[in-house]
Amino acid sequence: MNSQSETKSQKVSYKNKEKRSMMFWGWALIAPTLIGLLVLNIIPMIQTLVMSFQNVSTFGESTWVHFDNYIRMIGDPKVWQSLKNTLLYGLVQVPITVILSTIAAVLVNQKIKGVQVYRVIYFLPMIAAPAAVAMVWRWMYNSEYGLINTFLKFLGFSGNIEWLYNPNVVLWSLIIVGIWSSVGYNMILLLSGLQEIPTTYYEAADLDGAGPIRQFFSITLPLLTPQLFFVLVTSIISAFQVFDLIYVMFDDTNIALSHVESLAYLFYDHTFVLDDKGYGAAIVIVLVILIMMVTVIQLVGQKKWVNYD
Amino acid sequence: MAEIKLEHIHKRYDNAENYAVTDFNLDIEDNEFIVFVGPSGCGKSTTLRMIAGLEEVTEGELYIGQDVVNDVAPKDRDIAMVFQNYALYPHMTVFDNMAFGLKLRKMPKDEIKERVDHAAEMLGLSDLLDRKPAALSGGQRQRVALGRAVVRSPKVFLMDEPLSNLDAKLRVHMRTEIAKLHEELKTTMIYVTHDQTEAMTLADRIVIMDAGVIQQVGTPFDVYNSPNNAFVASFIGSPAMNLNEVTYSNGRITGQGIDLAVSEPTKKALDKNGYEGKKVIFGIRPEDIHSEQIALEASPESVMETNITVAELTGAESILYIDVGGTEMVAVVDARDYHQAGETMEVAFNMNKAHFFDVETEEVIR
Amino acid sequence: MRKLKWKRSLGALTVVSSLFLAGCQSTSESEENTEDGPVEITYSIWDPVQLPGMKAAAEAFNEQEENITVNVEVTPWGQYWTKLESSAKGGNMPDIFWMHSNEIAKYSEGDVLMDLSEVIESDEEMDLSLFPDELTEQYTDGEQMLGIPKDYSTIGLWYNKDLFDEAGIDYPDETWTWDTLLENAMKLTDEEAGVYGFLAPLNREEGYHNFIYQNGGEVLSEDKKESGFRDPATIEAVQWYVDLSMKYGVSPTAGEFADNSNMSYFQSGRAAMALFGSWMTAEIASNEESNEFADVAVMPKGKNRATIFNGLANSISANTKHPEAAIKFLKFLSSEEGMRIQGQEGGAIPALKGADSSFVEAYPQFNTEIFLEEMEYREIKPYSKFTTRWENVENDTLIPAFTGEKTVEEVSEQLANNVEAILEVE
Repeated sequence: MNSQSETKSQKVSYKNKEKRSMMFWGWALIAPTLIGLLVLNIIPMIQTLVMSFQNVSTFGESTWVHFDNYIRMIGDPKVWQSLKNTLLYGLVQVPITVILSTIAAVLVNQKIKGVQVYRVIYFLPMIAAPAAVAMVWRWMYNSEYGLINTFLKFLGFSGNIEWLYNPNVVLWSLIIVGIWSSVGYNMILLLSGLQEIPTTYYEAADLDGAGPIRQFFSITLPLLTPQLFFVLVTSIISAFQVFDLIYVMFDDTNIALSHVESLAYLFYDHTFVLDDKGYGAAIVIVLVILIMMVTVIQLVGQKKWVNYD
Repeated sequence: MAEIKLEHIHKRYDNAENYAVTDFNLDIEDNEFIVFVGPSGCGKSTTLRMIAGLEEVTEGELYIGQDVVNDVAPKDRDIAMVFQNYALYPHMTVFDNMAFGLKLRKMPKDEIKERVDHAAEMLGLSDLLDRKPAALSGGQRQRVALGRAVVRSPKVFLMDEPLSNLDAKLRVHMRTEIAKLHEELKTTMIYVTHDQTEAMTLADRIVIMDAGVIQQVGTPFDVYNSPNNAFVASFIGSPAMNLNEVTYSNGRITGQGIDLAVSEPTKKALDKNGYEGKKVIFGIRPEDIHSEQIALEASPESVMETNITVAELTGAESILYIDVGGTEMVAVVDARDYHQAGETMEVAFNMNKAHFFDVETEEVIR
Repeated sequence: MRKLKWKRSLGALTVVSSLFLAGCQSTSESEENTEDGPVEITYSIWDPVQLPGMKAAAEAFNEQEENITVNVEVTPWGQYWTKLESSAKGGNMPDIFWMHSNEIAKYSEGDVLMDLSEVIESDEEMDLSLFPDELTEQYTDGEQMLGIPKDYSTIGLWYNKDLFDEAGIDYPDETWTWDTLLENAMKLTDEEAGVYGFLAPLNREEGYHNFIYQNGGEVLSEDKKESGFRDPATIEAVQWYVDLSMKYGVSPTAGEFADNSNMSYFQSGRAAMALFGSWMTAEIASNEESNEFADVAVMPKGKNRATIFNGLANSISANTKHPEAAIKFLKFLSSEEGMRIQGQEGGAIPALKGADSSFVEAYPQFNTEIFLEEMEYREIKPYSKFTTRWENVENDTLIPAFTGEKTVEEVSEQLANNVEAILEVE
């Protein structure tokens, strides 16, 4: 009888050991990602939030200023201008990108010879680093020697467009590069969505007598809405954070900079150049809130227009 | 006058070596309910799609009415099609789904409304006209797909495995709905399925296909009782016909544990065609293997002793897997005849219903 | 059972190595510094042009002190300060590094720089009076000396000899005034050929700040509490500078400079004259063409002569693990020998009086002696605790003036207010 209870307690303790071992393994295997997430994402986010309420002194003690940074933002014309730039950039670049990506995806979804080559070509901009892309575009935008103005002259268009320093043009220059670099990626996403649409829909439409354009609007678009939604949400989130294109294409001495700097750029300026980290933190927190608001609106609105199976 | 005619229709895909459909010939009468049936890949859907115009005809002529329509666009062929996955436009209401084709043909609004309402009534969809497909059940969606075809008042209805996505009970129910629909509309229907029960219950005539070739065309009764080859014999009927290789000699068949006398007409046919001493395929349907006392007494030369390996009670019947001298066969008997696995049982083969096929060509010996 | 154990050790290894990788930064020796064995110290700089000079100094030093190896690291200006700041917070700054007037206030507050006052006092050879005193002052915080001046720079009037020869005009010299400059600039400007007489970008140290002081104005008041833009002399000077591009057309506009820098205009032969600091001499010499056609003269005279001057310093980390080695190297750098070596490579003008002539010797093809001459009427580059902030404000507020939308006078009030708002906070 003794041996029986012994084995029983042995069994119980083995079970606990097993559980502990499973717990250990669970934590051990997610540890790398978890640590990375904590150290590189979560803790800095909290720190930024805290800094936004402080006047941050680099090497010494930071002082609490409560909402002063935020109040200062309200009266800062540069903040309003950046907000306007960011919104304008997002609300123009994203729809155009999505439309072009959709068209590209449809074109590239055909069974024509060499379609693989076209797919690669459209996707190539994604492979290049944003900084490299921006540098090349900067060169192309040069008003005197750049490819673009040279080409326009070739077409007979007189006069040089000041792509990088005319206050009325600079935002468009940025938007063009933004569109060029993101169409490829979104095209691939939408292409996968297109390929999921069963051909029977198109066949039914053929029988009903719908032409290709009608089919595009009655079948392709509605059935593509889940992917379109995803693309829209992610594109806006990323567009509102635009920074590296601006940083490379426009020097900080550029006279038109104020017409193109985004909130993210302003954050960089205050935090790293002007050494006003508390204010920079407040700016970026506002940017985060802005992005969250827009995303929530999109998520709520998806019921109205997104068709899931 | 035949409504649809397929003359020497062949189909080969661009990169393929073999034909997907070979020498398909069929005359379909007005108002017939034709079913194409066969295993996956036999070419039944391909043929249907050729009739619809969704696939090109490689060789041969396709007639709808008097006209050759090989090069006519699908929308101009005056046909309507119901797909396996319904293909309902997800962002449109049921009403708009059904009205879509009519709108494209620029029909006046009130006529569209009339037609849609009428079809909706016929299919029990009148309360669902404002809903979107996402809010419908599978059966309701299928009815909308049917409705979309009905409003077009086409010359021919084409249906490509429309019930495959439904659960068993619903399938049975919808089968009758489709049959009723055919009665009401009195229009030619061409129906594709892999389910032989659907074929048997719905068709005026069945076209059985295998590997792109028509195996037999006939009424359900004909193909069931007079299969032209072993393929048709085993494909039609569930559980499938028992097929076994035996040797025929002098009025008896033997081999693989079987020792039975054949019926007089059979003996005449086998002798006439020179099968004395040769091997033949012996086919007998499960329901023609009897276990009741009456049957045993009626034909003593066709009785054999068997062991029951598995007994499946389906309610009204019992499906018995029996071991006949080493050969496994399936018998279907009345459930009242209670049998259990492991029992020994005597069965009588109704040799008048037996079929015999040539071992090489697999064609029926008559 | 065996399987489980093996899994466990693998798991432990994974956890440990991931933590190790996550926490692992640059593996610097954590051994106790014995000062007897070989020692390696890091010298951090931001100008790649001066790298040869610094390396030469490090090697010469190593010949004297065999045990001490100096690793010279270049981090471009754009990342230099971010990197230095995080290394300061992380407690592993480079041992010795360059310091700039824009940042000295912040670093002195942070107590991360070694106090060098004792080092200097104890060393008989070091004589602070041989350095420009504005520089030593800049890097002094009260009693503490936080950096020893390394070099100084002044601004010169560079010109394209070929363009002058073509136009038949005499090269600029010390007789030139603002009017002479403008007059000749207009003669040298050829719109069709795309050649400009004088480059006037929106630039402070190499631009209008010089003219402000030449006109008797100032950028910041002496006590650094007020902006100099309330002074009519300042406004007048800046307006004159703006007019060069907007009114007289002898310079590209501020916008056009966004596409092509002033250096690229000059080096491609599209500018007859331009202001460049002494530190740009190496760049001009490195380009084959400009090395041939360029030369430099003193800036023209306004109401007086003036040049903006500035200088870097070498500082030592307060927490360096090799204080003795770092101090030795610093002394070497600040000695006549060390200074000469730096000057020879032509990167910058050594701050030590006497040694600065080595810079002149490095460029026989140019009249670089003018840079030393100009020290007579030098004005320290305006600085305060938050220099970058008010410089930014000044830049932004002047943009409308440089695009011709407003006059300098019209924006001066706002400029002064904004600058003073920042000075107040300091």
